[in-house]
Amino acid sequence: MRPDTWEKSHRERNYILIEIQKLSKRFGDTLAVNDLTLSIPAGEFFAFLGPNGAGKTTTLKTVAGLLRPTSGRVLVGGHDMAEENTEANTEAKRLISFIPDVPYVYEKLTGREFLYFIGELYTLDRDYYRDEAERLLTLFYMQDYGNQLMESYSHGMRQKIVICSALITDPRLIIIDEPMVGLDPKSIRLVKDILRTCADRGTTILMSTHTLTLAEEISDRVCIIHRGRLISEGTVEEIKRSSEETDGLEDIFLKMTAED
Amino acid sequence: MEGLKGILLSRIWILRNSIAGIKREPKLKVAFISVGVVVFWFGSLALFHRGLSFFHEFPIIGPALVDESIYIFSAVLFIMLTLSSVVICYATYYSSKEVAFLFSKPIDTRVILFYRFFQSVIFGSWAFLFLGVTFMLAYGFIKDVSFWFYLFLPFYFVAFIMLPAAIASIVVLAAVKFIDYRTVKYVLIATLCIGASLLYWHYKQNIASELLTRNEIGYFLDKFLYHIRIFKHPLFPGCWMAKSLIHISVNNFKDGLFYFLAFTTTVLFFLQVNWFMAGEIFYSGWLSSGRGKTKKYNPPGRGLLNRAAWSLPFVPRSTAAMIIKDIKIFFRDFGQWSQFLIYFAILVIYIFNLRNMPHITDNIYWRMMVTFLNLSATVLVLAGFTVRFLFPLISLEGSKFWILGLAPITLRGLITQKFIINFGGVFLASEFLMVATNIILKTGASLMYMSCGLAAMASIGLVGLAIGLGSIYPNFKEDNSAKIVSGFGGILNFMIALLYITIMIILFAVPYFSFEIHGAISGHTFHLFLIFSWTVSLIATIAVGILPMILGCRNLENTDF
Repeated sequence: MRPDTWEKSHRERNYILIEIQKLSKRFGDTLAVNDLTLSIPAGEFFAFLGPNGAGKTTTLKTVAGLLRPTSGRVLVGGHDMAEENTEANTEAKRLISFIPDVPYVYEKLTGREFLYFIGELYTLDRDYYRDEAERLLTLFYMQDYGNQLMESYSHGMRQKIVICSALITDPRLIIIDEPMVGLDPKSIRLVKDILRTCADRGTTILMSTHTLTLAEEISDRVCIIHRGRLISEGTVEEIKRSSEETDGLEDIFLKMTAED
Repeated sequence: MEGLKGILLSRIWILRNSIAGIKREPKLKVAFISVGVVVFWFGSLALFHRGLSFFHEFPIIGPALVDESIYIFSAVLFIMLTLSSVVICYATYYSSKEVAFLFSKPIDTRVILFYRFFQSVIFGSWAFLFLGVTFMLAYGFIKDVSFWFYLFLPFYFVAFIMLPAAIASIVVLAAVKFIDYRTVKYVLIATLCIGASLLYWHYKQNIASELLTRNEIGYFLDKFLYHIRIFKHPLFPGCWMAKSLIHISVNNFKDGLFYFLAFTTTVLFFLQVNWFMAGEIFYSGWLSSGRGKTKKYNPPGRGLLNRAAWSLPFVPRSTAAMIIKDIKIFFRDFGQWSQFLIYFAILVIYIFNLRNMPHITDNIYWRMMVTFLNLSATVLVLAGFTVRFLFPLISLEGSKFWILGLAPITLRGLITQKFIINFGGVFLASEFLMVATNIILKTGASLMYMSCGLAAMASIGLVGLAIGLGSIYPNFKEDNSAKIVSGFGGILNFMIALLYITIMIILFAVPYFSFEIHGAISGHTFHLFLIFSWTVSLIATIAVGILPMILGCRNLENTDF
């Protein structure tokens, strides 16, 4: 079973769960993330905003340990995510869930099989993950499709299964990249409520989105990055004050990310 | 022909970008693969030259035997290409996302089909072309043919690879359209199996018994050539090309061109049928094939496989989950299991054929020769199997690698798991093959132990090599395992595997032949030689099997997913 004490004790002490220190990531000639430094405490709902190609996905993948920094480092719960595969690193991964922007899944498995596969991979209690899988499939209106191969699913259905697979492990940190792409309005509402509830219970949420109203509505703090650089960070109110804008986040975002 | 220009342009751009991609590759890598391909090509040329020279040196009938080899080569090539094209055409027409994309565009259905058809032709026959050219060149050198023969060869190959694919394409188009979508692939496979079984039954009943009644090579050849006369039947297209080549090799252009034109006309006819069918039934067949994807499967808690794996006491749960996932995906992927079935069928036919060898094993030289040929054939099949099915395993995780990259498992554990599970299967299969074939061949205990030991080492080496190189050179962008194998890593894997098994066989063949056949070395030297052979084989196995896995693990740990 997962260690419950991790987030609780850390949150009580306002523990910094994610520390991004002078992170840079280069792909060939392209500098995707440029000297990014951020601290995110446990239990916070943190949103990344930025135009296409700003470096949001790269940052999230680096935090998840799926990309190695070119320079700088990312600490999650004190573990350097770029370290070689160590026992501590493996245990840290047990507490993280990642929901990618494109829901690549094993197309030749059924949705239910995929959830059971995740349950076994994370060595969750079998009774627990079976019950949880049924609960989540029902919650997302997927119970009738659970025994069909995922190759027959629409983009939105795959996204729902990936969200279910992220929630089934009861993670302490959820990293979610463009969560609402392909979802119907009902599911969007559902995902918003679930994520907010998770954050209220102490789970840290790291989300990137283009939907500014979404960030404004549910996140505790946001940051705006442009061309790999952090250009603003804080609560929506703090950003409004610092930019001397009285309008919504959208105007601030457009002003800050305007090309020269 | 709407859309043709756009499609061709896109292919040209893709080709141009691929060539530009090669320029960006490390020069050492490009040089290594280029040298390897050249060495492999000349090696196969030398091998065919040696084989055909052996026949050519037969008194009186030698040159005729070499001509017969062209008929056999053309016939076998024709049949093999037709069978493999059925599988390839099905996958290329009905399992590709690109087809769905093309159907959404205002492109003529016939153009889409022909575009995919030519892709199938290239994809399915490049290896045959690679080896076929060396065979034909060897034939030309031995027969000392005229310049016109070599000039004609490219036309021969282009025409020859078209007909089997065109026939297979018609079969697949009709099957998908007119047979129930849930059963079409099973019907195709069952038809191929039944056809192969009937051919084998015919061989056993009418040919094998007669071939092996007398232990004389002359009698054997005479009966053998009589029974393959169907390869020269005037209505068998493979025969037309063989005749055409043979006539042109002696500057008989009139007959040579006659048979070539007969073949080419047949190709054009079948292409015309494809064109017609593409316009009439390709799109509707494609639509109906998509309906099969809503099939419901049993819940994962049920079924023998799940229960068996979950009750394995010594396997970690995450490992068991990976094994179940791999097995399910394998058997739900038509392109994978159908080719596995073909491998399995070849092995079964091979073992049954060995039962016809006892007459030869009366002679100690032939017994030794057949034992080593059997060993070579078995490890060669293992090499082919590991390259085809194990090399792509890591790449097939592909775009889904984020799932494993985030899971609480180590990459070392992942590679070790893939090695152990596949080694278990390959080891059991290779030992079964060695024991069964050695019993059939009535070899002595020494040869039996040597064969089994060598097969065990080859299992470690070949499985480790395939998994290791698959991790060093993964192709996460490709979902088609056959295409993954045809990349740099797959070719490198095949070349190293060939080199490795050649060294292993030579290491043991030299002392056995020197001592038991030629009596050139003493018993003491023989035993010392064997100790040397085992030591070198062990070192080679560690170098080939374990080292790539260590390097592969490091590579994956440094890879961005």
